[in-house]
Amino acid sequence: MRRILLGSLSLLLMLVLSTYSSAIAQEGGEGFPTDNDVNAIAKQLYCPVCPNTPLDVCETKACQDWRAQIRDQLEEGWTEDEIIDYFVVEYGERVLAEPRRAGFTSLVWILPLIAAAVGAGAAWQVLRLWRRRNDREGASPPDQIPVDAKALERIERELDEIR
Amino acid sequence: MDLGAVLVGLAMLVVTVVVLADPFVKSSDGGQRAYQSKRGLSARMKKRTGLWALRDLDFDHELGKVSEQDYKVTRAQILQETAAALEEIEKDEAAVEANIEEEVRNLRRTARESGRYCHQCGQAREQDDRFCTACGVEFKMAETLSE
Amino acid sequence: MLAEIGWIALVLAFIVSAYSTIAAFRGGDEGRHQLVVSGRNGALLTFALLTVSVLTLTYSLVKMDFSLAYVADVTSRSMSPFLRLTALWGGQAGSILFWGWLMSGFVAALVIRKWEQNRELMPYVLAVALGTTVFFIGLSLFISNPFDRLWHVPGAEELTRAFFRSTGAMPYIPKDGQGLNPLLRHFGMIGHPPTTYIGFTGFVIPYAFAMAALITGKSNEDAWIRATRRWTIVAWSFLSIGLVLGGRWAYDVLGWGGFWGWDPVENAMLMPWLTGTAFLHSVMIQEKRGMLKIWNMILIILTYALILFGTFITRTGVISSVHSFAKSALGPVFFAFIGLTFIWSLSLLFRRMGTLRAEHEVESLLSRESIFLLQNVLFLSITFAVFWGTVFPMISELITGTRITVGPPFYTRVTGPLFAALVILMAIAPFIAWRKQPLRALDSKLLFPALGSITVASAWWISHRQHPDSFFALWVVSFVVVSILYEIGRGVRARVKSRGEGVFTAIGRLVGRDRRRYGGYLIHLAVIMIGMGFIGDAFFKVETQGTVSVGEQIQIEGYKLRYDGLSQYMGEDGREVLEASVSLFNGDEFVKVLSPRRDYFVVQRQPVTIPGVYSSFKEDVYVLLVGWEEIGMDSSTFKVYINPLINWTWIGGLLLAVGAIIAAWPGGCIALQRSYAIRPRSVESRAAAGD
Repeated sequence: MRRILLGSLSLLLMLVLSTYSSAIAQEGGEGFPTDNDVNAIAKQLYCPVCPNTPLDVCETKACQDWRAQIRDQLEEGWTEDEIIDYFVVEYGERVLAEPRRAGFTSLVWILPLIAAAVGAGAAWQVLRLWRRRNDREGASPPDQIPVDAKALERIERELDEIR
Repeated sequence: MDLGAVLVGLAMLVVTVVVLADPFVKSSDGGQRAYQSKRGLSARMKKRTGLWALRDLDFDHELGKVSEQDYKVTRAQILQETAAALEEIEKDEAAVEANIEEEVRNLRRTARESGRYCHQCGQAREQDDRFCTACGVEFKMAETLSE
Repeated sequence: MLAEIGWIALVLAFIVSAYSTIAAFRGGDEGRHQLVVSGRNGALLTFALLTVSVLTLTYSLVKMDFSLAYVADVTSRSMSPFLRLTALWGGQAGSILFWGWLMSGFVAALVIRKWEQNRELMPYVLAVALGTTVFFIGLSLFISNPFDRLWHVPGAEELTRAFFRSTGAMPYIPKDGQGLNPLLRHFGMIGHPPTTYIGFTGFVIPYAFAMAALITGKSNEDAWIRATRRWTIVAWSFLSIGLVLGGRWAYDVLGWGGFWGWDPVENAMLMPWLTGTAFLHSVMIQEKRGMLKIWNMILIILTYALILFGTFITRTGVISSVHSFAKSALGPVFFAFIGLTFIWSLSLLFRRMGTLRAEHEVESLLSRESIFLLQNVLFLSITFAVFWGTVFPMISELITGTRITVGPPFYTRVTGPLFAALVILMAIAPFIAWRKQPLRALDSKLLFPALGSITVASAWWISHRQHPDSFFALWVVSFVVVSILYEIGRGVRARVKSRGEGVFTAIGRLVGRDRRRYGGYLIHLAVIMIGMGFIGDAFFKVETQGTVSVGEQIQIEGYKLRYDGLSQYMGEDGREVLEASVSLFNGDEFVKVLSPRRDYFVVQRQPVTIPGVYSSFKEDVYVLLVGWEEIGMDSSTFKVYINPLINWTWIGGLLLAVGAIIAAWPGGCIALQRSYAIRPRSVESRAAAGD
């Protein structure tokens, strides 16, 4: 039984891994900087002025201008990274939707991982503690606790009624 | 602030004070029962929870959610508790029976002992009363004369 | 005059609730029954008085009494009576009053329902719950008073808000009000805010019971958990439904094609939900096994603190957010209150730590207990990640001076795997036995769900190869669904076999006899459905943007959208509506005319983008009108999203409500039902000797 289960799980894993590698491609097409190309980049940026709004959905005039700017930059042949870097230099790190993984900002990524690891470790410790206590108590199960036969019969009868 | 609002406000204040003060005004001797009352569940409740617990346990066991050993131990334990509750209930019932008998006997005795109480409502009466002061029933001559 | 009555009622409510807090506490402490009863009457009075307050304010809102500053802020002549009614919670002052009122309602309900049952805890429960209510009434009265009027003080440039007239001030009554924030002028206003508030305030009950248990030193007994079980389920369900409704609302009005944006306000609401969910599960261990007692205390304290924190964030706007409609001087007071509550609760817990020893042990590393423990760790890890992501911009700004953004990619990347792990636990937990689960016996039970789900996921995947990670997501989801159905099936089969019932009778009895468990499974299924929406959003969402002239088409997936023209008109409520007409074709077959709109609120100078949506079980076609001006009236820019599976999120919300009703419905015996507890042997012998 267990072997079948393990087998099917590993099969699953292989399927996932094999498709991972094959699924990266595409791009190109007519009229190069389409709205979609612009949005793809704008999505990774946050509006520098509005609170917590991604640039691709922001509707203010300023944001429309920024999107137009991205389009111009794409036309001039800038790469995605260059455009994003430009925005970071110009407006600061707050335009990045995904915080950087360097410097002080990396803490935002690291701490949750540490927390999860510490949590898992603590849970493990607790489990072991529970087990150890159990080992110490040991002992065999106690003998049947005596119950009056008449009462027992009545309980079983009433139990049957509510099942 | 206009008069209407002040008046409504005063009314609310009065109601508030009355409701808050109410428990203190009410006869304090009756209310002085110890705050810590009824501990735990009554026997009947215990029996019922016990039965429910047994049913759950049996079903969990059937589905393999409780190990064999746990099942035995836990079941025995709940059975014991439930049996204890049953016993308590039976005792209680017996006590109630006895009580009823006792009460009836008492009542009979009081009624026989004297005509000092109204035969209809139980209000105390004077020997020479012709009517009950509480319910107004007329006492018969025999009763008025008494033994 | 009405406003004055409302104000007087508020003042009285403040005094009464403050008095009752003290009376209940002292009464409990000194064993003075009369004092406690007086406190109880005070709790009921507080609710009555606040009701007067709320009613007068509501009346003023509906009647548009612009002499009140709050009314002038949130209503306007153009708003419908329905919206004016909802304006009660549309702004800060009103929503705080509403909060206090709901909370006092919970306290009153508690007093009425539970007074006789938990006599020892009750005085303290009352004191703790009312204490919080006092704080909110105080906020209403002293900091953000909904009954304030506008005054014009000679010489001052701005109008002053105050309840009483200061010397020389002239009353100022505007001709029309500002009106609600345009984003709030939506039918959803009746759903999301009240449900969320009910969910939030409802958690005061388990919290107050927990604190009372700590104060009385009865924390070792599980009375507080048993007494609050249903209240917790109710509060939790309202919170969950509030979350779903909030998502739906955002989807309908925010115009960005999604329903969850990991915005600080959304996070603030999600965090107490996460810890609350952990709490809801982990109390089961305490009930059955007498373990994790300290942990449960910590969880409820944390949940409650996070609820206050969530209210704090939404009501003070400390963290800038698209939802921060309210900004004020409320911050410091609120922050101090949260801090005090948290520290007080923890110190109380610390003092009673000794009484909370686990009565218990496990026999193997794999057991129901360990699964629950792991689940708790996962929930807490997610909560921490969300919390950290939410506050990090502030921390970063404080320490390094650079403001950064923590956007959705962070959250999905960090919490995604953790959520996936949780879902897997959801699938296997029902099959794991308490105390000890031999691996050998587990295989046979898990085999069917595992194989079943792999088959389902693979079959699906063969037709959708382009998203490899989705395979895993779908497998996980179908694993849960299959295993829950299998688990229910096993229960039914057992009944049919051992009691000879018909299948339908068996299903009915199975669920009826253990509503909490099967209501719970239903909620699990509902959560999975909601999760489907997230999976669709994460893996299969497609979007495109294009500018088309009348008669031209935009193609996306198998759909074609033909632009038929634009019309402009004055809508109700003071908005200029620009409405496009778009015919949707599936292949060549006509489906529906969609009307994406851009409403421009003239007074507020705020545009609101309303999507045109075609919904089916499979997916939504969501069209936004995003541009037209530069191009002229005959061509427009549209953004089109295909949002697969999104409807399952809303259906899941409904199912969740059904599950919650089943699990929490008060029913004679069910109310008394206490599941059996597997006690440790050490306790058994003691119990046997003692009784």
